[in-house]
Amino acid sequence: MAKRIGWIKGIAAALLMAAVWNASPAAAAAAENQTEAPYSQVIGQWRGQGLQETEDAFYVIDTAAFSGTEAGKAEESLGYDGEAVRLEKGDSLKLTVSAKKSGLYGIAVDYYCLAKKAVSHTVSLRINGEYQFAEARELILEQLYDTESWPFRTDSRGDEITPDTMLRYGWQSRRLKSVRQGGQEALLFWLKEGENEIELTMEKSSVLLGRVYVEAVPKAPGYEEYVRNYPEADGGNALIPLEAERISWKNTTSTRPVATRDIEVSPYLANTKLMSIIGGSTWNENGQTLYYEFQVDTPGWYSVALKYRQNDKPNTVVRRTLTIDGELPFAEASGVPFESSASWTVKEFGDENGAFRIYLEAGKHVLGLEADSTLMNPLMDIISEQIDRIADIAVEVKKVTGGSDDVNRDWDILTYIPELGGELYQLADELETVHDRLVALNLGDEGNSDISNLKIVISRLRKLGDDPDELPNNLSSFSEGSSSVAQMLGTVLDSIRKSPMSLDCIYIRQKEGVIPKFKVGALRKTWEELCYFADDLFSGNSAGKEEYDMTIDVWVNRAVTYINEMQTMADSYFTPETGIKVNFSVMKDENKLILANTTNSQPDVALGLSTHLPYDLAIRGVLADLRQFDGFEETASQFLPGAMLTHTYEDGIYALPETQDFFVLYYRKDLMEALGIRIPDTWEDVLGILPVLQRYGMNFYIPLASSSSFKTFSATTPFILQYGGSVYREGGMEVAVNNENGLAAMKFMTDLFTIYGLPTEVADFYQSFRNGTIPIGVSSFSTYLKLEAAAAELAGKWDIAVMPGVKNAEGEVERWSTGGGTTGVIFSKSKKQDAAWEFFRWWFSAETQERFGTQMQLLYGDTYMWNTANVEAFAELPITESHKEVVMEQWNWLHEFVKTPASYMIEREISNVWNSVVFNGENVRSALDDASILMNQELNRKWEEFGYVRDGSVVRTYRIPSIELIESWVKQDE
Amino acid sequence: MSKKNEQKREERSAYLFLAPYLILFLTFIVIPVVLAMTLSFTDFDSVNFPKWAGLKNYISLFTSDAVFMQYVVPNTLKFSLIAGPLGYILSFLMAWMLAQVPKRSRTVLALILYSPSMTSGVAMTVIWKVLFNGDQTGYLNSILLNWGLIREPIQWLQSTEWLMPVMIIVTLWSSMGVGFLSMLAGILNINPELYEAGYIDGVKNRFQEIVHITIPSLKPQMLFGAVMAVVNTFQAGAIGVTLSGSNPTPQYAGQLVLNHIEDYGFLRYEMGYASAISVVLLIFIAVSSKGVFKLFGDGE
Repeated sequence: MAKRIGWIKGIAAALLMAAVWNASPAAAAAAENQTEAPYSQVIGQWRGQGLQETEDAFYVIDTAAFSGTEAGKAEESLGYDGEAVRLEKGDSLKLTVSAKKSGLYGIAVDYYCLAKKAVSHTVSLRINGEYQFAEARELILEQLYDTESWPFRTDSRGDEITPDTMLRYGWQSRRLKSVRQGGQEALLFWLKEGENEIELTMEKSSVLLGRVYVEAVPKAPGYEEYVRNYPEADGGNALIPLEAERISWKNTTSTRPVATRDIEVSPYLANTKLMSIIGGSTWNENGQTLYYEFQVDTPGWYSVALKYRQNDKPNTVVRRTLTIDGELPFAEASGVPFESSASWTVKEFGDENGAFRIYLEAGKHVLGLEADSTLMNPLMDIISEQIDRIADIAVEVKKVTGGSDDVNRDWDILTYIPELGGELYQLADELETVHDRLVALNLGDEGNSDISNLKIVISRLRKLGDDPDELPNNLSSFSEGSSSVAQMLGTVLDSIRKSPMSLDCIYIRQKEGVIPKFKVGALRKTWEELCYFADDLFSGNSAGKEEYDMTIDVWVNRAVTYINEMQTMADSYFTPETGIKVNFSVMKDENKLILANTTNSQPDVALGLSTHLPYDLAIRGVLADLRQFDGFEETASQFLPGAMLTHTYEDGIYALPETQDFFVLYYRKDLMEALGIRIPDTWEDVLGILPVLQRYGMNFYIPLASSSSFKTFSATTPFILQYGGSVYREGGMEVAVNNENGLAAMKFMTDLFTIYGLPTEVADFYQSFRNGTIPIGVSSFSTYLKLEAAAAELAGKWDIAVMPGVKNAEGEVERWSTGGGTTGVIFSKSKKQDAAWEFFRWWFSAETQERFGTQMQLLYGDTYMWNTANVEAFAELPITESHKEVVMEQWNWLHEFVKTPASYMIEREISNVWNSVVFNGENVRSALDDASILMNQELNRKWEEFGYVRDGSVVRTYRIPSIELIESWVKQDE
Repeated sequence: MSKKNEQKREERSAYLFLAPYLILFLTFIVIPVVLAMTLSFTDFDSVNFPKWAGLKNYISLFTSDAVFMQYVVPNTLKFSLIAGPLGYILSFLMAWMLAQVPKRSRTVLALILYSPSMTSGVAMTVIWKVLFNGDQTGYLNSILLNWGLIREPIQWLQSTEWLMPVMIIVTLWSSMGVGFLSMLAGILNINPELYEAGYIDGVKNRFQEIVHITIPSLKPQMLFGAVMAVVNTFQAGAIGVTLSGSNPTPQYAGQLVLNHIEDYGFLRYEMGYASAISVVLLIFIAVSSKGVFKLFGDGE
């Protein structure tokens, strides 16, 4: 660490000498922001100083000795054999331990998780006033979960449904550990001799806390020692088979049974989807543990075999740790390697000398199987530090070159950064050690993509180190491009963390116990494939024939993965409750709805429609007004009033928002820090940072610069609203974009490009953001998804903030923006509108939305993040808290574009004005005036079509809806 | 009597053999055309039942549709007068040149040249949008910047002056369609003895060969190619929209008749009016095909 800071200072000095832009404030800022070193480094230093684990130390601190806490005694200790204190989020307590000896201790606590939902419970721990390592800021109090017990529930076809996960309440006593640690690794803290003050702060969620134990961490015995402690081996033929999907309990929500139809898997039925295995992609994070209760009748020596498959990561060894009754039986049982295998195989926990034997007494036992990639942690620490260093180097190089992208220019970079060559070699050397260690852990390097990626990275770094002067022209292969060193390391970092394994059965057996055969021949397999095919082909017709009071058809404009889950949820929660059967089908093109409606083959409900469509359908009488239904206010009040502006026509609201996108400001923390840029709050601020950005060849992005030449309302209206303008005049018969505010907005929108040099077209903001060429910009939810799911090397290096706005007369920054998203509608021709509304109330409720969102994310990963429009449900989704807060704040400023029958013309003409000013250099005012004539003409023509205007004179005015109006409608009954 | 019966039966069996084609032709061509013509005399918002409007749609199309007169008609004419004949000449030249190379490489090359006309939709996004991308990551911009020919990236697809040329270039690239294949086949089928005879009669070079022998022997295929070229260029519409991102194109710079039809039919929900435009387009194509027949046909 110290070396690194020194290096930065060295560069700063060199830059000062060279009279390049003064970099020292940035370097200082970077130094201030240093957090503690990771545990793996700290423990190394401690051991280097000769600190040792203590032996036999055991201190119990009772709740009575807690001090300095706002937390009160819990009135109800929920079955604890002593007094408990209640810790809410933010509460902290202090306790003192007088240690007899300076040394390394483990800290354990008794706790009871109070949350009603699957959220993580974390605490931070300071000893003598400081966090001893980075992980001490986020220590986890593990929560256990029950799963629905076997037999699982089935849907109408007889297929099994993914079993529910429930919280398992109860007191637990566990050692504090960090998020990334496996369960068996102890986290050690250093206590000096004498009084030590320990401060425990609740960071997330709330718990009841009992006694705290500061103790020596007992070491598990070695295998040989373990065997010696028990009677001699005696054979026996007992076999205890366990179906892996019938989990007794587990410590994670994500690991779960999945359905598979494979004849080699048990259980198996050719015509039914059975939950038969633990899905490999759900069981891949370090520490995810499954527990199985089993009964032993004959005491004796047993071995544990897994019937598994690991085809998610080819040629990669994954590791599993085995515990019996919550204890590691012997040290060797942790991190046992399992080779990858494309087909189902059986392997016993063991080493090169054969299977481990475990002595089991008769009676009930609990087997724990834990995904274990703890051994990767030190490697991951090194790699992520390397990524940081690469980013630092790139910034320093850019400071010298000013972001010039002239490839024909020769640089004498060593004059400015003399250590550069050595630094690059050092990076390569360190990665070489990572590489060697990884090869050793993986028991060979053949075909392993992480290892070959590392090799490429190392050779590239050496090549760059040979000739550092080439680095400025090769930044794309170093830190920026999609296959640059930094991004490849990011990929490796993300990949080595994971250790997927699909599990079908567990066999606990004595020496003579015979594991049943499961392999079948190729012919048999082909026959079974044909059976599935036939089943899939014909079974569709038989479904839905059961008796229901009513069946409604729902067309959904989404991928089939979503629809399957929606169907499952409706079948298991909605239909049993109401007797209304819901049939979901995929709608590939939402424009087909119009045709379907014309031919009277429309569904009752359509979901997943884009925001602009419902209004156009509603004004032509296709949709049912939702305000007429009972309980509309209750359902609608859970959504943002601004989102319903688009769906309002006269006195009706014709659609409910289903998902809600957002526009927020994305920025690269690392680059902003390095350049000393403050995150802009207003557009004025943005103009202020542009010169700094542009000096380094960087820029700022707004949606107006997207590659589509048609600038939609969502790109243009935010500016108009922020400048206090509006699109329509009162009465809706004319546009107001050409008034003073509209003009100011339009002028700003075009000035950004013509005067301030924003890029007029950015092919892909996400890619430019990753590369660092556009390290800051306003973008939508899809960028968020990509950054979360795909940009591993940027993890923790970017953040979001509310969109910049314009300060109004009262000094408040107005951040109005549109959001977009998808919506749901009910058709006016439907004869089952009440049933459809019943479905709406269920589907749009916070409970359903939250369950659906959580489920999708658990099943398919972060890319299926469900940005529900239900604000209450959104607040509960598994999304980073600080990001959620930003999004919710931005949502306060959500103002969806208001539609009229001719709004397409207004959208288009605003886009044309922008285009003609930016590209043809026309005058803003005259272009806008000309355009508003066209807009008014079209408005007039359309109003005539809808009977508001007759023979050129207005016969009826149109009320332009406002947020206040919608709020008053929604809150009527409250 | 029996003769008459027999004739009737023969007629019946003839119709029976014709039936598959007739049924398909009626359902997919005749009925839609008749329906479109009928709709063009109505006000139809594609949801509610059409209302009779007489000639209103046609009157407003020719008298008050500024976009149509100011942008769409000139654009369409410009586009089809350049892209149509150029593409036609290009496909003839390509076919002729291909006919000169040996068989094996000819097949491969013909396939390569023909493929753009089949894959244009996909290729558009994969190749052309990347090539003409408006920032420095676009190939063309990148090359021009590197050579120092331009100082900042050109907005090929967004600026009004460049969109039309780009559209024409991309259309030319994909113009080796069916017409090209038929011409290639035609050239290969010309009797080589004709050329020999021509040389004996005093043909001195390849150019004379083309003018006096190849083209006259190729008349039917040339006619077919020409008709296809006319129909295709008038029908082209997706191109400007795909390149620029959405309908309408910026400041209507690449707006063709087909885009205008879609604009009214799907964005403004005025199907009746859209039908009127498509009827006008139909007439326009029919008339130009007639002209092409005059030009290339034998006058039979």
